[in-house]
Amino acid sequence: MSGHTVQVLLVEDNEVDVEAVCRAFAKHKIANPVRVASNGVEALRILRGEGCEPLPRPYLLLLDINMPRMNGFELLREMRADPALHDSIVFVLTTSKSDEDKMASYGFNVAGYIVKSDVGAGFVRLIELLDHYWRIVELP
Amino acid sequence: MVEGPNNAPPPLADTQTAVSDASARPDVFHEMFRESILGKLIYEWTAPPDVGSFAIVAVNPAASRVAGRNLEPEIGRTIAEVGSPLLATEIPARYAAAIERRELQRFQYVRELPGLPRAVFEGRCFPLYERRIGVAFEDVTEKQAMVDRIARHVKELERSNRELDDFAYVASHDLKAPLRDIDNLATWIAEDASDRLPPASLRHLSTLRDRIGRMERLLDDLLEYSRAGRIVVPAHDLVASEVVTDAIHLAGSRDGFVVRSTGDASLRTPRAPLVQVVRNLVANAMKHHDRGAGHIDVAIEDLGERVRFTVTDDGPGIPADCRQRIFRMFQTLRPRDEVEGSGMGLAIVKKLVEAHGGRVEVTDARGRGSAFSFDWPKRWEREGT
Repeated sequence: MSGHTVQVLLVEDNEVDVEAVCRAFAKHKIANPVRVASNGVEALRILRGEGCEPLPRPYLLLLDINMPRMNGFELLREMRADPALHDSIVFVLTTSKSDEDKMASYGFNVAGYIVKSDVGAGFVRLIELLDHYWRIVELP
Repeated sequence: MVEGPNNAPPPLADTQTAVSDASARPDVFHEMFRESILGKLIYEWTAPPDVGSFAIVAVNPAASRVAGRNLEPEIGRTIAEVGSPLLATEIPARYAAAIERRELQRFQYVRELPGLPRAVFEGRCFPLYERRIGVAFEDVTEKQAMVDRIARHVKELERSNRELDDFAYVASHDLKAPLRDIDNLATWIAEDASDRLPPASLRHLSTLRDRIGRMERLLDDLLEYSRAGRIVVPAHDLVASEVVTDAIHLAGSRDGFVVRSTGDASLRTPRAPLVQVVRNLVANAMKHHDRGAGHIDVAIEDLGERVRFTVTDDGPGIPADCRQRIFRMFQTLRPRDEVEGSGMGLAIVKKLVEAHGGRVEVTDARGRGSAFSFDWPKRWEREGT
């Protein structure tokens, strides 16, 4: 286990889903800091520290696919081409059950493809997954 | 005599009969040639068959009519001498092929000449005897136009059906996302503020969540309806009574209700749609029963090519004037507050049965209740619709 608290960057344009994730964290007493970006452009700014402190490692992303300005795939392409960001851990969190989206996501070496409707009321199973994940997995 | 260009050449026995008749009554065959509604020509050719060397030796009145000009003055002249527009086409080559291969050749000619309306002709040429070949042709412009029109309409229908399916799918899928948000928000209000809300608001909140649940079910059923019959499912060897037993099991149970199945048959068809049809009918019969106890019978009848399934209940029955309406989408006979249901169950039944070439019927059961019956093909290997 890494010595530092894992930061979560939630890239999501639906504010209800943002609140759902934040509430789920609070409800399960998970204190890991959560930063929110409402599209890929904002996420890149936070990751690269443009106009703010860059997101300190270790961190992981929870990434929606359909977003305005820069969607999840465009952000992934950008990150995988950037030597400073290419090794980031990314979980895709989406409403889409389409095989195409799934294949495309794994094409960008995401750590997991998660469908929102499969994680239970209040994102319970997502929280369980993350809680175990960063306890066991060494993050870059 | 109507002779389509796609008719196969007559079988050998008929040819022999024709030949013996021809030697006995040549006048009859002359009559048949003259009065045919197909344009008919006999050409003579000089060896080797050169594309310009075919000369008309006989022509029937229909040939002039179909061609749109009198061909009789051209008897004795070669198509090169006539300056026939056919010279520019592959038709003389088909004539040559008929001679060379000694077999019937088909051709099509699209006439696009100045001063004449565009026309499509179909014809066949075949070796006759010595250096003679026969040609039969007809004007298929109108037939072709009609075929094209029908093909266009079919395409258009397929497109709009597909669009409708896609619409149902996209609508039911995409409407679920905001509904989930609404559900979350209602849940949070209940979690955060239920101790501070007046009783009326609490009641409203509870009704709100109930309606969210109902809409979710509607959307799930609509999604299921739009998927019904469009997913390709492989056929399996099935025993009808086993399918019915599974379907009864899946339909769930209701206290006081007995569901039985009688009869049997074997089929080779996709399993899931058949199970779903029987399940929906049995579940429907239980759900809409007006008494605390009842009997539901599923009868299986082997009709040879098809299998008939009849689900009979002893419930309230369905008024005759409602029997069409119940199969439409989102139709229920009782208010949703009394019987929870999206009104999609029977619409799915109808769609699946019709996609497999069958029909659903509802009649009065003997005594009390209704009988839903449908027939299902014994062999169904076709891909999904």
